[in-house]
Parts: sequence; structure tokens; C-alpha cells
Amino acid sequence: MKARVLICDDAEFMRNMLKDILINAGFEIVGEAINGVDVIEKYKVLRPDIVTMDIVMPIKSGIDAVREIVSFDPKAKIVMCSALGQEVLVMDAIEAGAKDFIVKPFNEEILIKVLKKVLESEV
Amino acid sequence: MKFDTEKYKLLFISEAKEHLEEISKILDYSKERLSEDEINTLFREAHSIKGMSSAMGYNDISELSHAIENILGQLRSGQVVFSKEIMEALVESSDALWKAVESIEKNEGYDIRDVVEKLKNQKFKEKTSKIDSKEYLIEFSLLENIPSPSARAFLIYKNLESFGSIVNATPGIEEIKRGEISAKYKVQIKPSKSLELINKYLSNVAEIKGFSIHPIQIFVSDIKETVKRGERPNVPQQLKVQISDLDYFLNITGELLTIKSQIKDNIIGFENIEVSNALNQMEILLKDLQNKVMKMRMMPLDIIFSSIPRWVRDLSHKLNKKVEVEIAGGDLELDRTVIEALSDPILHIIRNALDHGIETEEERIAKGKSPIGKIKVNANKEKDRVIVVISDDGKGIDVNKVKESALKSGKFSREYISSLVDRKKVYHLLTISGLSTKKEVTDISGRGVGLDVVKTVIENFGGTLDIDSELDKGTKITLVIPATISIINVLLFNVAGYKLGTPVDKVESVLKVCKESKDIVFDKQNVILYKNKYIPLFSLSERISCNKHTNNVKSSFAIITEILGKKTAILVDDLIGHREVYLRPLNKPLCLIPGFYSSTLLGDGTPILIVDLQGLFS
Repeated sequence: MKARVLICDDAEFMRNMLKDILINAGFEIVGEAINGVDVIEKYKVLRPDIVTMDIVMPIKSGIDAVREIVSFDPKAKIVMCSALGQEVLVMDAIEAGAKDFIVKPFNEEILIKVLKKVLESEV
Repeated sequence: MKFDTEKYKLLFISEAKEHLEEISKILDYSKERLSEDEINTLFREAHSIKGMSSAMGYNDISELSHAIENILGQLRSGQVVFSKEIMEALVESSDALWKAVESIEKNEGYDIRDVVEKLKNQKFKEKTSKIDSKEYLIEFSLLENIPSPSARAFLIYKNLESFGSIVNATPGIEEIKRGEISAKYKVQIKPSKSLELINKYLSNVAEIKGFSIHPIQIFVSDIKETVKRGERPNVPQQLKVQISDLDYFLNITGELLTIKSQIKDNIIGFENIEVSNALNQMEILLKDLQNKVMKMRMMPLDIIFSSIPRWVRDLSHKLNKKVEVEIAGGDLELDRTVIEALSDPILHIIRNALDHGIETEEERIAKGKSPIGKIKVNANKEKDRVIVVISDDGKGIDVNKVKESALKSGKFSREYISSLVDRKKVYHLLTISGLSTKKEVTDISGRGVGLDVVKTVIENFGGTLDIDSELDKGTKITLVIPATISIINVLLFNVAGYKLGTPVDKVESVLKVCKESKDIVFDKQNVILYKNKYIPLFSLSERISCNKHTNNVKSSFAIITEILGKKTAILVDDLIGHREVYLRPLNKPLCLIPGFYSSTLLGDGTPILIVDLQGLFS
């Protein structure tokens, strides 16, 4: 069965790019969220297998969103999409419960590898 | 500002007694054991007393509570076993605490030194079971040139924690959080899961270059030694710091960040990886320092909110009105300067609500409302802004009456006043100086005393004030203020050859516009097409009267922002980008220029004025 992914990024460009890469690699995109509040609501409804989450977003940051999603579902698998220079934020996100991170600009291969690894892992 | 302990003494006594009561409910000589829940409750209560008493300077009380905490901690971790002696010691100590608090209440001295010393030196029966579980040393190194290496190491540490408890690590997790990287990471772990699982996990991390796992031989005596070393000497864990020192820290941190950007801007072109790495490291550390300093300056809104109920009770009593007040969000933290500046405006708005908004009991009954009026104060956080909403269910603002009194003030033409259709624009009249302070306005409209002052204070902090009201339903005033001040993200742009900036969080978006474009209509009032709607377009260079260069520019940018609740486009010549900057307040005479509220220095030393678009165009 295809893994169900929820993409969260405030930039349409990034969402589209992620979508293309992931669909190509055999994932199913179950939804797209545009900010931290949106992603929490969609997570609760869609219950995806994995979430890709931008860090800096309007209304609610990705870090706060991770915290809320994990408190709702402690087994939630969330991968942060960070940019260079956001190391401190990434560590905050990990502390909040994110399972892994990838650094923009993405390497297609790494992105898929990380998602697969997190999907398989029990940690 | 000195911490005035006298002021908090009564509060301390009543709270300490509450905690002690909880403790005495659990402690009982006849008990054979303490459950985990009971130990946890006792621990919490003792911890609360410790914190309160050390803040108040009652050091013996704090020390005794700390000693109680220690025993409970040892019980909890299984280091000592429950015995009659422990129960006796706990009862004796809590009795001593009671006596001390009662003495403080009666303004008498107290001496619990004996009990403190006795408890600190008392040894209880240790658990005899042998420690046989082994510890392992995991060593790993990361591949070079991976992005965000410290975040990667952090994630590995965090994941290792799920395989057991980490006893020790070099670099430590805190060092890694500060951006430290290392050629080799060493983690000493006491596994709760099998070694194969750890092995499997580590081999799956793509960024790990190599790793090893070895058992460590430890002896019981070593552990005892570590426990002993772990016992802290009784140095207080908190210090009182002068606010002025914190201000100094913040200023220095701001300067350091500016210097860092200066260095960064100046090495562009000299591609030296080591220097860039060192600078990145420095940036992470400075950001961390900045966050810590900002955090130290934060205070909960409760400092203002906690006085509201008493205040409302007194004032409503005086006014002979019945009012209920509901408060939420007092735990939100804001920079102390913001708290200081907010306290008057908030109390002011509540006073207005009480004085002019809420009707008397008879009036309310006649209107079919509940006889008791309601005032709600609610604080919420959105991004880095705090939103305080103060609402009442009183008589609301009568738009026509505001218009009438605005006319009477002689400041506005009849034509202008009658053209005001949008009620928000009418409410805006209330915040105009010289109008709102007029007594007639307050008597008639039921709102307005000094709202101009409130608005100025809020806007000085880069915040906004919004008024909404419905006749006979009530009034809602919304204050939006940045939680932290001083360091903000600004959008930099050029206007007529000047570099200016404005806070990014007030900008909705930016459009590139071509002057020949069909989307713009230059007429009496310029408009621009934005999201399928025409919105007003203003030229910043015209507004600040320096339109010398702009006419030649063919394309420019429009900053979309909200002014008086309406989307508005502000035309600027060119965008530079966005930067995190340290704001410096403007001094006289610069601060007298309307629309400019602070300045900053760029990395290259260029001074930039920060424009308040809302203030300039509203």
C-alpha cells in the first residue's frame, strides 16, 4: 500500500515540488496544508502516515504544529523541511517530537530515503 | 526597581499554608509506605515552597524544603527505602515549616536551623540490591559536509535516549544545542533495550561515518562517588538581577549581532570556508544568547491581569454597578517594557468599559439583559504577537453620537463626517487627540477617555488598536502588540534614494508593479488590482515629500499592508530584502517626525529609519 503523505509548506512552489517528487516515488499525497493551524486540522482528519513540515510559516510555526500534533498523536511521524542556518530551530522541532529533517534545497534521493526510513522506523 | 518582598508577604503566607496543608494530608506516622503518587505530590509541594521562600529571602525555609525534596527524590529513585525514620523526619520538618510560616505571619522571628542541619545530615537506609546493569560507551562520527551537523547529532542523541538512559555524553546535549560539532561523539548509555536494536539504528543513519559500542566496567564505589559529587552545595539556584543589567545585556547582544553582520557583509568575495563556518557558529551562539536575554526579560501578563479583579470590584462598587470579570491568557509572557507600557492602557480600557460601557442594574434589566454586566479580558499569542481583547456586554458605541460630537469639536467638516459610512472609521475618530478627551464625547458616546493616548502607546511599540462595537450588545477593543521588542524582522526598501524599513509582520505581501500596467488606475485616487479587487495605492515618496527621483522609475514595488482594517498598497521604488535588526529608539528631534518610530544600523553601518506605514497613512 502506498504511504499517505501530508505536505505542509506556506509556499505553493515548495508544495508542488514536493508533491511531484513524492508522487513520482510512489507516495500518495493525501493533503496539503499552508500553515501550522491548517496542518493540525488536516492531520486530525486525514491521519496521514507521515507529514513533511516547513519550519517558518505564518499564523503558527512548524515547531508549534509538531508539538500539538504529537500531543494529539504521540506516534505521529513528522519530517522537518529546514533551510541552511535554521539549525537551532530544527533542534527545537526535534525536541518537540519531529522524527527527522531534510535541508533545503532538497536532494530528491535523500528526501525519499529519509521519508522511507522514518516510515519504517520504530524509534 | 527593587523587589518589594513586603508586598508579597501575605500572598506568600497564604500560599505556603495551602502547600503545607497538602503535605500534612499525606504525612501520617502510622503509614507503612508512601505511594508513588504521594511521593510526587509531596515533592511538588515542597518544591513550590522552596521556590517561593527563596524568592522572598526566607533562606532557612527554602533550605529545609530543599532537604525534604532531596529525601523524596532519593525515595523516588529507589536510592533509599521507606522507613519509620523517614516518616518521622518528614513530619518533623513539615511541622518546623508550619511554625516558621506562622512566625512570619505574626511578624516574629523563627529559628529552624537545628531541623535543617539535622535533616541535611541524616542518613537513611540505602537499598541493598546490587547494581549490575552494564553501561555502554557508544562512539560515532558524522560524515563531513553534511548540512546542519549539530542538528543531526542532536537527533541521534535524542533517538539514543529511546534505547536507554544517557548517563554522560561528550559533547553534551546542551553543547550541541549551542551549535558545537565534534569529530567524535561519545555517549555513555545504560540500555533498556537490546544492543542489537541500537546497532541496527546506528547503522541505518546515513549521515554516520562510523560507530562503535563497548561495555564500560563500573564499580559500585564509583557510583557512590558520583552520587556524592552530585549532591549540590546549598548555593541558591536563583539570583536577583537588576533590570538595568538586563537592558545592558540586550543592548550589547544587539551590538554584537550588528558587528557579526558587518563582518559577514565584508567577507563576501573571500570564500574562506573556515571563516564562514566560524561565523555560522558565532551566529548560532549569538542567536542563542539573544534568545536567553530576551527570555530573561519576559514577564507574565498576570502581573497586570492579577490586579484586574480587585480593581473591577472596587470600581464597580463605587459606581454601584454589578460586574463580573473573566480573564484568560495571563500566563503569556511579554517583554517587561511592553508589560510596563501596557498596564495603563489595559486598565484604562477596562475603566472605560466599567464607567461608560456597562449599564446600571436597572438599565440592564429594562433592556432584558442579565443584571450583572460582564467584562472579558483575553490574551492570545499569534506568531510573535500578543493579542489582548477586552470586551464588555454594555451599551456599545452610538455611531451617530460620535459623529455629532466630532462635528461639535470643529475639527472636521460636515461633509467629511457625513461621508463616513464605515463604522470602524467612526470609531477611529475616538482615537484622535483633542476629540476623545472632550468630556461631552465620553458622556454621550459612552467611550473615549484618553483612547488617543492608549493608541499612541500601543503604536509606539509597533502594535495596533482596533475598536468594534454594536449598540446595546457591547464593545470590543483589540490590542495587538509584539511579544518581544527591540529585535524584529524588517523589510528593507528604497524610496527616492533613501533606504527605509518596515516590520515584516505588518506586510501582507509585495507586488512588482509596472507603471504602464492595466492593473493600476491613476486617477484622483490611485488604485491597484490585488487579488481581483481594487485597493487604494499610495506613494510613499509623495507622503514623505521627497518625490524627486520617483517619476523616472518605470517599475516599482507595492507593499500590501492593512491600514485601518483595509488592504492598502504602498508604492516604493525598489526592494532590498529582509533582515533581522536591532531597533534603536529615536531621540529628539527625530522622534517628533510622524510615521518614523525607530532606527537601525545595517551591517555596513548604513543607518535605516523604520517607517510606521499604519501611522503614516491612517
